[in-house]
Amino acid sequence: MSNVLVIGEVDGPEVKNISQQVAAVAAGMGEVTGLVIGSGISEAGMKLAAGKIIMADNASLENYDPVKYASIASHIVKENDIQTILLGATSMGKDLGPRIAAELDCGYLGDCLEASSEGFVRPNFAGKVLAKSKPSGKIVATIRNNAYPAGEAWSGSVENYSGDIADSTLNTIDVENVGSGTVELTEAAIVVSGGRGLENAENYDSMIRQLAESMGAAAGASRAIVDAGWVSHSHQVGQTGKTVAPELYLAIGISGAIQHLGGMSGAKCIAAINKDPDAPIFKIADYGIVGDLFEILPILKSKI
Amino acid sequence: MTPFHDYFGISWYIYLLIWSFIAIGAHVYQVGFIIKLIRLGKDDDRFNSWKQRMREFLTDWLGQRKVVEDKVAGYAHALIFWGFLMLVSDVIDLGTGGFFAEILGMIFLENIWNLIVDIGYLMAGIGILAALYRRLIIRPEKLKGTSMEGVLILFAILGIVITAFIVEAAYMLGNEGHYNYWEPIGVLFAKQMQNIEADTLQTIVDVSFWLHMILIGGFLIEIPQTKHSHLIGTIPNVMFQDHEDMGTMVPLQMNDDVAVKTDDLDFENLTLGVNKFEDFTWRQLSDGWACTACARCQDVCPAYNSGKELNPMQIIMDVKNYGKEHGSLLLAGEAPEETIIDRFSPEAIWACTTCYACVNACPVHIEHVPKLTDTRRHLVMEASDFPEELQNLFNNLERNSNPWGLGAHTRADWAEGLDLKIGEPAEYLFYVGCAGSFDERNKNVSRATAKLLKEAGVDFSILGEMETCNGDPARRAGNEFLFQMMAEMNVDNMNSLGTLKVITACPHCFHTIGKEYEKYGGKYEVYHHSQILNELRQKEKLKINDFENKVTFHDPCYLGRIGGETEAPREALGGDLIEMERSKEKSFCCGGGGARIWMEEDADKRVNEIRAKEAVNTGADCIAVGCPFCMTMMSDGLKTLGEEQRTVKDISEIMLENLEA
Amino acid sequence: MNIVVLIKMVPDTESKLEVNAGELNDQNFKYMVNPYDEFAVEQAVQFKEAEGGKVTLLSLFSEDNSIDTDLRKMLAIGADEIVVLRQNGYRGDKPLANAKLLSNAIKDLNADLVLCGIQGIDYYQAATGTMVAQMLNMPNISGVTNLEYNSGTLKAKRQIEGGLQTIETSTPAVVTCQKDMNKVRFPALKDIMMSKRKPFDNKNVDSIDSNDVTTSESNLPPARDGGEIIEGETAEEKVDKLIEKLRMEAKVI
Repeated sequence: MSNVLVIGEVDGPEVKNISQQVAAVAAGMGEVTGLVIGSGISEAGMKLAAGKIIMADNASLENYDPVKYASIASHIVKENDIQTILLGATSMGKDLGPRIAAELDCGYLGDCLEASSEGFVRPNFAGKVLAKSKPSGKIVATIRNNAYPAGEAWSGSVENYSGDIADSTLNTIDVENVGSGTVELTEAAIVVSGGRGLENAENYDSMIRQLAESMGAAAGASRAIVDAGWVSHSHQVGQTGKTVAPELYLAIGISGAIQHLGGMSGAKCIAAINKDPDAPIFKIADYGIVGDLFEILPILKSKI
Repeated sequence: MTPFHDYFGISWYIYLLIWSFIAIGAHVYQVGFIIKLIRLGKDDDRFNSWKQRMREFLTDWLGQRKVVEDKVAGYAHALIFWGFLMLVSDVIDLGTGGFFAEILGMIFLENIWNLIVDIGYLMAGIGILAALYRRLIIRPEKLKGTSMEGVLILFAILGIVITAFIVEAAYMLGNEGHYNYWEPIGVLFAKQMQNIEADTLQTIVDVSFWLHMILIGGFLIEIPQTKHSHLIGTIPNVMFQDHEDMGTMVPLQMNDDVAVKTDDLDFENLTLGVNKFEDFTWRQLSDGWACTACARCQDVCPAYNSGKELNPMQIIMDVKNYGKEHGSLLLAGEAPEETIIDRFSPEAIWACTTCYACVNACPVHIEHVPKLTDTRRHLVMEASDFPEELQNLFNNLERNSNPWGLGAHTRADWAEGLDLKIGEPAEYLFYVGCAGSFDERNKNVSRATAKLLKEAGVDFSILGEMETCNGDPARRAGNEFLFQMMAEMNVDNMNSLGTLKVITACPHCFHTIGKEYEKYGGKYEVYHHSQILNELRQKEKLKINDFENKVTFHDPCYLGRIGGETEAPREALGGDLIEMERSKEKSFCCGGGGARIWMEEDADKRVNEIRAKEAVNTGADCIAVGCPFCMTMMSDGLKTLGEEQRTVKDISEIMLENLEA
Repeated sequence: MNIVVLIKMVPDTESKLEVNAGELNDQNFKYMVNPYDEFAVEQAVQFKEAEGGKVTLLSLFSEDNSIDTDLRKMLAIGADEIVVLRQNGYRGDKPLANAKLLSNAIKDLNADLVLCGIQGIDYYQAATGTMVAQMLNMPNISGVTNLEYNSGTLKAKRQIEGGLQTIETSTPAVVTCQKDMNKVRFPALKDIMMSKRKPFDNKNVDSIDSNDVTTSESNLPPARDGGEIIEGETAEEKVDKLIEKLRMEAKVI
């Protein structure tokens, strides 16, 4: 059993779901110490599922700063003889992880799909190759969202961080909430895309946009409906539009002409709904439903 | 009675001399200016094949071969043209007060000359009246919105004809009523004029004579400025017409008959494409002054007809107008602030599908398309200013050797299960092309073609993963550099396999490999699959039944008009084809060529919808095509029109369907 | 302003991926410039055009020089010179080792700003840039979508969950670039040709030991077999099945 450090993140009054997932993974790997850094995070941070939680709660730590946060983490690692450092593969985790690894001069594995005392698995080449490893020394790893289920929240003992915090010239001057409805198309993990099969612009709004919003996904479109004026060009996926490579691409009422494929064939998983069984999209989709999207989409939305 | 007397105490020929001096001087000066402008252009050696050129000059210039393709306007023009050729020497006679006729009389040619001249004036007169009738009474659609310039000019030359007859008639009347029947129309006029009082008649003949001379002088002055410059311009244009195969583009640099290799190109001294007036060749510039503003190119242009910025006639006018407006700067060796590309406008330049309908329609051998592909070369290779979608295209071609950037190693997947020779020597190389390899719909065509060839026992092989795009989209889009690299690589590959004969289902491959690769060291016999399949059908190596439903055939531009093959697809299909009005060499483009299939098109200006509608109007259930671009564009067109119950099928697919089991 | 741009040469993702006995076969890989790094080059050139200074491209790769043409294209965008560290036995999945070699080279270059793409499309670790920052004792901002510079201060916007964080820092600093941070210009052919004259410096570097994790086994995920049409009596049944597959099999929701 080794000592595992889980660096968790909070969102308002709760610990982020992904941090609870990481904590659950860590529990299977050894003695878990939790670390939460920020300002005014103590109440939420306590819920991180770890035996011992160290809070670095300070006004100067309000916004993520790799220099400061990494110095805190390395201090704790050295003090507590930590062997494995785990974080969620969030925008913070994916940056803090490497910085800590460099500071500790140890190995780093980002965006892991599997993590256990048996080893790690992470994706290479846009997910086309899976790499297994069984690191022997100190290791920093970030775990992908939803790779594991979250563990129950519970509170262990709490300690306040008492070490030094490095100086940093970084200064956050603003954090702007862009609103959860508008997810950037090219970076979204899930894209819900609509085509001519939707029949009109109102259907695009009521079916595609709403489904996307409920899934936290981005909304995309085929060229046919952009030309018809149902959506702006910024939604267009394809040869003359945007290229996307999400985890999941839902093609709804899209036939799958080659110009469209060029924009989304890099998606990890493609699911298609179309009433035409011969539509080319079914040739590259991993899963397809041949049927009336007007019947299927509402059911999908209510269940997903 | 003649006009050859003194006016206000000064001899008539003094006036004429002064007027001639002014008119001829202005004419020569302007023509000289134009010639200097044209000579600013780069070299283009067309001073060869003289016998052929003489022949073409006779049929095309003198014989008006392409002009009379329009039955109404064409024959009207031919009459005016031949008429004027016959009558033109009359001005010498009138200008010398009848002296010229006297000289001819000495060698017994006066009478026949008189007759020729009279018939000339008559033919011209008839032609002019027909033309006026067309412009003022028939009022064809294509002339809507044009200025009265054409009508005024017609009236002016009608004036020249009528005044000539009046002068003729007056002479006869003054000659004691001796009617010269070698001038039959003059006689007709004389008969009408015989009762006019002598004084009035003198005034009439004087006015007619001077009107005649003023009009002619006016013409000399006006000819270089208006569309009448074609009187001069058509001579070099027709004589030095393009002898290269239609649609073949010129490499960046040539060493005799071979293109200079990419590694050896002299970039320091190479101008890539056209942006300045003098970047054009002299022959490209002379087009500007050969244009008659007949608008035949405009009528057949798919870009123009789909409401885009491009008007091929305007492009040619732009060359001429630009030369006129900036002439003094250009001749002084300075660069006007406005460039040729500014004048054409980039929207117009990118709208062209390189279908060559304009070049095909032009009666005076103007070459519109190269002006657009040359300016594209500048925009892509020098200015780096081109539509964003092409950036993807170029990157994909370079990296993955296909326009969609799909994995090159999946190129031969379509052939799975067909048991084909891959990468082995064989009698024929079946060059599948990118669409046939990667596009789902077109993979069917490749399979159908392969099956038919196998059925007939043809020995063929495919290149498999080694095949790359032939480079056509890069070339038509102006990225000559990328094209050259791809061509050189392909030729290496194909030559190393000992390729001699090639079959392809794509007319763009057919054209590029068959006609343009030669300059890069690749000389092959290239066949469109319809040609081979037809041969097999005729020789009964394939037993094909005639199709039974209603089918129309859409001639691909690069096979029919540019490739010169319109019969093989029809014979290969057999059956009773319904023909669209614009078929064979007059086929209307599907809109995919010129790399346009890779570019965005405004929704209300779609070329393919126009053509799909034309096909639907024939009542056909099935549109037969012979090109993967046409396949895509026509299918899309039908979808937009809501006509999905009609199908689009390739020749090979229809043949396979009707193959006797 | 002295800017160093780190460029990684990565295998084209459309390359054929073959795994033999747990080892990925990289013999037939064709390499290209990591697309994320192109944004970094463009950003550097834009700064140079506004502020003056010098843009040096720095790349670490094997001795294979088939990549030289593509690297020169980056010069053609407007960089001044390129330094390529040639390492026998270079591997793209050793961020610690690679960061060390790169940092050593950067120390000699007096950089005010180090730019690179947020991640390589080969291993997607998004680690090297940040590690270089730590090794050079510089602050780093990663995943930047907008970057401004004004008299010694950088102002960056980076995407975080549900929002945009704006950070300022003084130089020197390391910034890693996110997709569509700017529009990478397509160099004119003339510029590509002229870039043949710009300094292209190859430097041999020795391999170093590091604590990077080694891959014990590579596998191809089960092939996308042209997909599965989901059967079911009712629409509801089909949807249920789909959701289950997306959740359990593909693990994408």
